[in-house]
Amino acid sequence: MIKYIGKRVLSAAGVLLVVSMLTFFVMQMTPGDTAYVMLTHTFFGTGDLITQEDLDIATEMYDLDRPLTVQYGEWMLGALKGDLGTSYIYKKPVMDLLKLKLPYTCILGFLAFFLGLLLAVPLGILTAVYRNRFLDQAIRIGSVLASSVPGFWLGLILIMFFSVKLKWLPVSGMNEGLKSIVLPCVTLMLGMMPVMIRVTRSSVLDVMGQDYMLFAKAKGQSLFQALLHHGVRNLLPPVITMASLQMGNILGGSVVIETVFMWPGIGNLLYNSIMAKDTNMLQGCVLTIALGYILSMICADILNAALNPKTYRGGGRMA
Amino acid sequence: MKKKAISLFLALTLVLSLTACSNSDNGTAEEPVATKTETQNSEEAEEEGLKEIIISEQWTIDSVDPVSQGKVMNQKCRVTELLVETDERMNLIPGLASSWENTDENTWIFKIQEGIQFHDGTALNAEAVKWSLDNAFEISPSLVKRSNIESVEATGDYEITIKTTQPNAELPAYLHDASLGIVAASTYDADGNVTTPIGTGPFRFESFDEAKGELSVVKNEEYWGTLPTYNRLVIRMITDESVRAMSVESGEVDIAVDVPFSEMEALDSKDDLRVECYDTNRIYYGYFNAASMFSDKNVRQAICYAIDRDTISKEVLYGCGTPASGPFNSSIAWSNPEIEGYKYNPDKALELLKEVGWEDTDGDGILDKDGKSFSFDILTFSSRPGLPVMAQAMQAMLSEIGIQVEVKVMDNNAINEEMEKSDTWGINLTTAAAGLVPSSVYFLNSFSSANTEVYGYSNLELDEMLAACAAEYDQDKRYEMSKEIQAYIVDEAEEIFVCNYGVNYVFHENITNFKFNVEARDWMLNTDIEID
Repeated sequence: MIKYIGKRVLSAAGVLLVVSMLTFFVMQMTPGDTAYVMLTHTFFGTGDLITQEDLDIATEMYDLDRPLTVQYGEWMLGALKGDLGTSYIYKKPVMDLLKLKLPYTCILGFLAFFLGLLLAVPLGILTAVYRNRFLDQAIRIGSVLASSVPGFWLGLILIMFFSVKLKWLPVSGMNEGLKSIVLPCVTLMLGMMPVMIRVTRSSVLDVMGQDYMLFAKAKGQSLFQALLHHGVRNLLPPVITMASLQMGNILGGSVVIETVFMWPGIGNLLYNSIMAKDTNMLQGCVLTIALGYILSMICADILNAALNPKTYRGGGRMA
Repeated sequence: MKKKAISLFLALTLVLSLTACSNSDNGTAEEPVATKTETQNSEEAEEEGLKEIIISEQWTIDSVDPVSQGKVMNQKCRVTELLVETDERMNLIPGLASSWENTDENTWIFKIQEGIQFHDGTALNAEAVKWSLDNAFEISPSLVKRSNIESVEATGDYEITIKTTQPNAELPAYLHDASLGIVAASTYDADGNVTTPIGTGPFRFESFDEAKGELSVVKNEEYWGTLPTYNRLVIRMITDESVRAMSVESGEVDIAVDVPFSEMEALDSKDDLRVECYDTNRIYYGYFNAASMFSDKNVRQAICYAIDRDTISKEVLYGCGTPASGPFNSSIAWSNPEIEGYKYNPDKALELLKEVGWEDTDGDGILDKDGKSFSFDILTFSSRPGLPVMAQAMQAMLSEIGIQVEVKVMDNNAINEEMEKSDTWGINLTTAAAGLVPSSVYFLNSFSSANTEVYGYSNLELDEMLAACAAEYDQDKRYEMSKEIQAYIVDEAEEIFVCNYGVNYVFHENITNFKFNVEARDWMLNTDIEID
């Protein structure tokens, strides 16, 4: 098991390295001179007149004329020591900004993730048990609808209804404590739940068709008893794997949701850093999200391995 | 069997607690920052019945540095003030400096008002001003380059002398730069980081929640001028324009700036809301590509005549931004009121084009000349939302006189590169703050050969006129010269001026007596705005 985890951690480091290289060089390939973009975000506004002199000064101030490989190399050396560099636009260490904003993203993300799971898994089981009956149809139609609506639009509609019409909840920001988190959380949840319901449903259906379930029922267990005693262990792995992927989607999806609801997490930070070509800041945000992705996958692997030791022993199906 | 169920349960709790752990760690770290200020604020507001204004805007506040975030600290928050201020027509008037004069072309003497205190109680004097200016020049060297400043010296208790490297007849105008708000040295800590912005303005800095990007200032009871009518201002950043509109509709904020044009009418029709539009000093305009058919003045003028600015103003901008006849908004002191510009006249456009050989000879509905049909691209970007729609409207209007236009909306930063490599671009439609510096030549200079090279222009006559205007130390004469240049630029039509850039404010009914300031780069509130 330890060896298995060690392997995963090593490959995670490799993934992070590749992600950081991609981020850096793709960012450099996007149009626009870094100095120019940076100036429009600090001293000037979009479309203001910026002279060559201004550009030269900014280039010099931030050493932007060094070769890209040198810039990346220096950043990499710093990153290995835990220094992610300084943000051009915020003029602060990237690490400080992440520390400041990441907690908000985590609170929102985890809340949406667990509430979403808590609702989606039972709903998935229900749809499977009542397959093709009214409840199943209703939930399935509902989840198709929810999954075909883009998050930002859903967010706006929710705000319009609950904040402007009913005035129950704040429009945006996080000035009203728990009330503030409701809408962004629901929006994120609605984004991930349809997938989870479907995965749970098909997984339960799969399990329900197995011989051991028939045997359990023959022993006199009810369907729910049989599911609980024999089914769960077998139906969970695909659900867990899919849930870990959703965790990543929630981190990524929060970029949009946070911008709509002005939730002060790294989503906003990421958005701003792309707009302003703030490479260091962007690296920090992307790496954080990638790390979140990797961690949730590792967790899922460990869980699955614990549920079914075969996966990490590499053995075949036992007769 | 029970064992299995238990082990499963344990596994589940493990994940839950793992994630919950990281969650709670973060939770504790975050709490002191956010919640404390918030509860305080709302309590205060309730207890004292504070006259508080909450405004929502789209621009991110990254920091409270009075130099790099000058427009926030100076224009929006009114924490800092400038040596030189402007009146409602952007004429220069005394600010923290009571008067100024130039003793020779490179030497300027500014008298500093006596008896003014910074928010921390220290006195404003020549030394303090010198320190503040030097600090700003150090943080933003381009300010120095732009204004040719060589040195700032305190030559008396309340007198500073500014030397320039080259003559700059408009030095006072350059000192009216939001980044040059005068601050006390105590604004910064020993490492040069901003702790609290300390200025002299009618409001003092209260708090900045970095995570949320929310900033608040409170009335400075010791202000040397007229005290503001409200006690507290909270700036709340809401990036999404529709959400911003809903924030004022729900009553969460008192004022929202820049709501979607298409929602202005609906908002205005609400009983408790009022929408007001104003022309800023920014302008929507386009550069013609001189390395194309637009090298011909007739062609450029024809395009100018073929654009119906009234329709664009009404239909595209929903009235938020009036048709422009020249480079400056007519409420600016040095704008030339005699310029009529190009009134919509498609027949005249066709006539002008015919004179130089553009006609529809093959009957395909598109003008052609020497076997080449009249088609080009309009390049524009979307971060100023009016631009792409405006480009499409122009496309439709030009197609009516037989000109084929393709609109290319791209990232603002990509346009320069596109102009270099594309040979089909015809108009670069953009916006600029024509009154960034309250100078009658600063913006016009952007049309000089040095700056329009990228569009393929070189106009020595214009360069000479600009140089002469910039060198004129008499303001009235300079304004007159500027007006001539404006007329010349409009006639040459190397650029097409479309509309003034409008800004809209949505007010809750409790806010009255708002006075627009044409100087505002994003928005500004007058200190005597009324709140009930």
